[in-house]
Amino acid sequence: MKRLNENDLDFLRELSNIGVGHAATALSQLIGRQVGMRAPKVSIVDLSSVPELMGGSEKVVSGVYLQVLGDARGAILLVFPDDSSRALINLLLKRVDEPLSEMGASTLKEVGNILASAYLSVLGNMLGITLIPSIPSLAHDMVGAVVDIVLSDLGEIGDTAFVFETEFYDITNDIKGHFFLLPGPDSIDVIMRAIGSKNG
Amino acid sequence: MDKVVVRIADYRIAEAPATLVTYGLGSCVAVALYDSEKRTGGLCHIMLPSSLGDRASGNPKKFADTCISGMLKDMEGHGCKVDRMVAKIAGGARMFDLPNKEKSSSIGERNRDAVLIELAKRRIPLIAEDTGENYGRTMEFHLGNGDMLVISLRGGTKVYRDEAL
Repeated sequence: MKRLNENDLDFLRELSNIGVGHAATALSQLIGRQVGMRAPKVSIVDLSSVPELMGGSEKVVSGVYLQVLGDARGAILLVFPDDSSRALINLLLKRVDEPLSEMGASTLKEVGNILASAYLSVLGNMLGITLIPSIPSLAHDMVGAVVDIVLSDLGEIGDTAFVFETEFYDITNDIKGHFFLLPGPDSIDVIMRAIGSKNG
Repeated sequence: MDKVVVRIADYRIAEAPATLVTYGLGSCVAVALYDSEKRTGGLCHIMLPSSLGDRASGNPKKFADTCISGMLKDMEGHGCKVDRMVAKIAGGARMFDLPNKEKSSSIGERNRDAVLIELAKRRIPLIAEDTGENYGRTMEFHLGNGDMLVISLRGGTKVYRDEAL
């Protein structure tokens, strides 16, 4: 795998900034409230530290997982803390959903789908490559267990993950989420080639 | 009480009265090996079945085969004997329903199967197992008596006692 330099990381950070901006707009339209986002952190992290990064292995979260298909492979994992996922469902279904119902689960998956599609279409357009999200899948459980899937996908070939991390928040600040884009190992090359051809 | 935390892709060895604990197992598998005579045990948290894959590389403690052999060697260094050991395992869930991966077995199942093979190779009896399904688990391994506790959101706390002891 090609090693990324600071410039490459900056460029990817900028791309993600725009992509996540679109995703935040899509989410605002869906929930009818202003949604903000923090500038994405693009980092290379040690795989075994990922559960701690998200608040400790035993913290309960809702995770929506989508595979990225098309010219570059990878995965997107959206992680909502338990109270934020409840707040999202309340907002969209206009009722309290406790315990998590089938309808609540579909709602979260749909939110994941909208965010991922918005993000990938921007990224794909800017890079001139096709990126399509798979059908979303949901797990409501301890964060350590939820992130296992991406860790083992990536762990096969290395000990580090390349992570884009963004936080969403709405104006009343009761909805937060983390957006992780984990490019597959070959995808970095595809993305860097696309950047190269864009920059002439 | 003395609690020793085992991180993902790692193992730890301790003796009574300590407790070894590993949090948030999804498709990962935790393997607890216990030598009741020494009241010493090892707990590992593996991520992947085999270090022999085409693209496998990196930390040997993330793979079932290399992690278990490393932990065993280390336990023998602490005076444990393989022929006195018993094993308990937990984890290996399928956390997400992936539509296009349904036909092949999940990473969780492959992890579990790889662990069973490593144990069988060394004739270490597997005396308790809490694996599969689609939920996360935390495992505690009490070295005072060899108990394995499996804690999950779905199933509460389950205790696996070694009846022979």
